[in-house]
Amino acid sequence: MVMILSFLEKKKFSRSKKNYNNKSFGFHNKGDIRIQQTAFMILAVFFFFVLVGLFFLGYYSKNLKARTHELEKEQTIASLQTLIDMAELSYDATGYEYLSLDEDKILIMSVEDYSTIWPVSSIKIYKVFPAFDKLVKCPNPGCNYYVVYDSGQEEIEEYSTFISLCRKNKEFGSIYDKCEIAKLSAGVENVE
Amino acid sequence: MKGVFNFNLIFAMIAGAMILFLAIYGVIRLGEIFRFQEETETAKELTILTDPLQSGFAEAKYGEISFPEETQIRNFCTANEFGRNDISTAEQTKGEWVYGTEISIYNKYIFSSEKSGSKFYAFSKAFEFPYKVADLIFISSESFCFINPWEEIEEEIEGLGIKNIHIDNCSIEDIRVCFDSSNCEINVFGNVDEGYVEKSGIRSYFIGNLIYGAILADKGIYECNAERLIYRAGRIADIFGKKADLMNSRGIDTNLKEDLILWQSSLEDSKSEDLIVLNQIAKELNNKNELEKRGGGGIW
Repeated sequence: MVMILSFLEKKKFSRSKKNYNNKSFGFHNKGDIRIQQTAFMILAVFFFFVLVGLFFLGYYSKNLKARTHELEKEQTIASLQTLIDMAELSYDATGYEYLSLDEDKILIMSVEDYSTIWPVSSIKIYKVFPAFDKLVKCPNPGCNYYVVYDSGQEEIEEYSTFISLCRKNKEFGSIYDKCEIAKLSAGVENVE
Repeated sequence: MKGVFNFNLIFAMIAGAMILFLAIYGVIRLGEIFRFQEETETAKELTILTDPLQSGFAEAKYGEISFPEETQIRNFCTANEFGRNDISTAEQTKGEWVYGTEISIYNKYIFSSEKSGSKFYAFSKAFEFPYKVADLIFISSESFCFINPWEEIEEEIEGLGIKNIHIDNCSIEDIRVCFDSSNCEINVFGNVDEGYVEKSGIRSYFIGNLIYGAILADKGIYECNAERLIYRAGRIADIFGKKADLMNSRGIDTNLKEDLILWQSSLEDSKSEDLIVLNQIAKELNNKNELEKRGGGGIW
């Protein structure tokens, strides 16, 4: 610092009293001032465009996020039907079941690692009847919901549809399809 | 004073030119980014569009996808375990195809070729081996002509009204597909259950609805997707084996567990060339399941 100051003193930017009172800070003529004005003007214009660019980028990235979320949401809603049709979950006893999931498969899938194949962030199946006060995860006694897949993402928005949850049962020597109403819920990561 | 003015002018010109250059460069880059985003969005939309196209409850579905400009759909297939299809789309700019980001699809099996077009014809069929494994999606912009197709194939194409597949009534632009003869660009031998498709002397073996994939898609994509399907069939066999245990625990006796274990082990590391051999085992397994179904049981 001392070295720089001593250098300035040797050159035209002398810090002597003489140079402070007149034509300020070492500007000797109008030309110098003009250069400074032009430089400041160019800098101002440059910063103005940088600010406009930043504002535009901010707006653009907000739009992009919204669009991403919109597409993810669309995909999740479309995926509900896909999930119901997937061989790993669907109930196909006679080939004519529509919107039916297999409870046995769901029980198996809740412990199987199938994470790479799911097109959504989470898959949960809630039993609707009988009504319950608190959620108990299956397979536990008195359970009322299954978690087939959970990506572990924190902010998840869920979309759901009602389905039949079926399995084969045997009572009094005869085998029948036991179905109950349930809700399939698929989650999408909220990026907004 | 004149010298200062000149310096001033030169300084302003250099700085102005730099700003102008930066602005033009920025606008060009932004244009490229916008285009990239647009292509990425198109690829994502394409994957969403194929969701309702999956046959699901229906036996088959057909749809058309139109683009405002000539578009190429690039499909990279990876066969590692469940594998994936990486889909990206491109429009032509100054003679070059500009691709967006690839969208990875893990739960779909898309059979396509790299031919460009502004209209793509897509249809889906279920793949059963012997239980339903997944829906197959066939996307193509080219025009095909099937000569003397098998009755079931003819009925299916006419029933779905697939516009880019003509039966017997060929035009010059059509890619000709001959059934049980070798006079065309693509020749198909066998029957609707199993057989092989020959393209430039190279064979692709198929079973069931995979025939469309072998005809319409590039060989690499076909074989990769077939491998993915075989792997998934094996994983489903594992689930069915565990389901058999659960059913047995409820008193619903099933004897399919051993067969499913054997089936699963035969599927391991199998390729598309093994499809016809595997199909025999699949048929036997299906017969056993059908027998159990008659008694009220059955796994699938």
